Amino acid sequence: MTKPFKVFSAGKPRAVQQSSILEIKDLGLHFQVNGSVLPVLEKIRLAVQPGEMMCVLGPSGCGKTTLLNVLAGFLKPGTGQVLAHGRSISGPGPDRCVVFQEDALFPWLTVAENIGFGLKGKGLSRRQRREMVDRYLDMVGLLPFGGYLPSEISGGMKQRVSLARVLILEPAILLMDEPFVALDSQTRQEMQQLLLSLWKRFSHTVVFVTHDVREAVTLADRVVMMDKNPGRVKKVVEIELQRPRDPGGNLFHRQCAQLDDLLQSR
Amino acid sequence: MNNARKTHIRINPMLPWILPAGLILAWTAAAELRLVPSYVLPHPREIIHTGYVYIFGGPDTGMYAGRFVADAKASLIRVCAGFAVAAAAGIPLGVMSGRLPVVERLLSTSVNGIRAVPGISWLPLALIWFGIGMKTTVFLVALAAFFPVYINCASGVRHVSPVLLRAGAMMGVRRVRGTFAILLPGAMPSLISGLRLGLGISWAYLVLGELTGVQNGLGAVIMDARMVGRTDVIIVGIVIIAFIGRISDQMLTGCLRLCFKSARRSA
Repeated sequence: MTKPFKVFSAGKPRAVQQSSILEIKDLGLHFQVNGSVLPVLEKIRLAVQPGEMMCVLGPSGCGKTTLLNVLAGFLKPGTGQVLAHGRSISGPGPDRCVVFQEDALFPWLTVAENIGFGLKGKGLSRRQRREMVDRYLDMVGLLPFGGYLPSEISGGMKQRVSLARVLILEPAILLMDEPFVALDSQTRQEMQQLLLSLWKRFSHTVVFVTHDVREAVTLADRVVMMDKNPGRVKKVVEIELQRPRDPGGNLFHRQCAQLDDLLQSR
Repeated sequence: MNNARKTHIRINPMLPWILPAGLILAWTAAAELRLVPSYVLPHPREIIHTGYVYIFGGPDTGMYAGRFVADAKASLIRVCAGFAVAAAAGIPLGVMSGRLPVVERLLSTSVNGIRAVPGISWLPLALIWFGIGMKTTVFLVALAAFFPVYINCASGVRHVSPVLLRAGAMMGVRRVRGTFAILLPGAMPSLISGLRLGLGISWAYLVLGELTGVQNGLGAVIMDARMVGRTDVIIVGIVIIAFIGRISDQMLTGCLRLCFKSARRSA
């Protein structure tokens, strides 16, 4: 039996021969530590398709956060090239938004002000801004909490705010750096479901860094497995489980076990 | 939900007044029992009388009667001018030095060298440069208040979390807006400490500047009273400076809180 197309992404058929939205060509990077050269990334070659949810999975120290920082434009590639929308990345910008691992909200702004932060200077009226902020507050389920300060809400709520403040900028690419790692497992699952539903709705391209195999299998279309010393791509695995995925199911477990084996193998 | 709204422990509102009250009580006792001669430490009653006459004038028009308003005005203008110069120089230089290693390297040696010179050693030089009066005082106040403002501002800016700057950058915030929208609010607690310290020092150097024979000002009154042996007037001057200093500190914090969200919410 032949399949007419592969179910690839959020139930959307993957168009054949799409041009990549992110392209990493032979990326290498090293840090200078006390005069000695520490290679961090070596010959990374990847292409991310528009609308794809790609997870970068690997042990700590494998350079996955560094890779994300290069994509975000916080770090310059040492060797090789990184293209977004076919153009070389020159610096951070609102087309590639980051959700950080740690608490990166502005503590002196309320939840609503944090979400509206990126809208300033875009020529929107105060009322338009308020309406947009309210819409995005609602979207992440925080409508009653707009007036709270970040210090007054829980870790899960903070990450909802972090998500909302970048979604409001309508980025084509969402870069997520272990955003749910500090949350308890139930909140983490809620956040994963939230992310999936938002992704289904907006279909942005997501690069999601994690060290959690189950998280990768829950979210990803494709998992890029990395190895350390120096950081390099070990294997790229397509996750072909149907969405919505059942984390209690047999196939899910088998997929996790397969990735676990791959992680441990040399 | 982890609600971390700060809960204040209830503290007896009388607590701040226990120390002054005890001090005044001991003082009164010492004066009543004549433990110290009145030219060393006059009776509190006398101080209150002198203070009243100094502030409001009175039937017995001595040389200090009713001078308060003119003196306080002169002193306030000097402090404000000096402090304004210090803040206007200290904050921008502090921000640059906290953010740009080049500026930090350029300034730190000189600033720390000059800072090590006691302010009083500038007095003779300032007198030669500016003569007696307003300019000398303003110069001394500005010089002394600059260092706490600059150093605290620089350290506050340096300790703004880099992830906040990255967050700003990815949301499309450029340098100028980043300075006002991220750096300064992020450094606000240190900035407030610096400004408060600077203002406190301003009052100290005000008196130093006014000790040199200017006609009016709170420091001038104190020095003048010493010449004519009026201990009571000296003490009145000290108490008034303490009061005005305390009030100006509260006004400074109040103004900052009024003007800046970050001051209201983080300090």
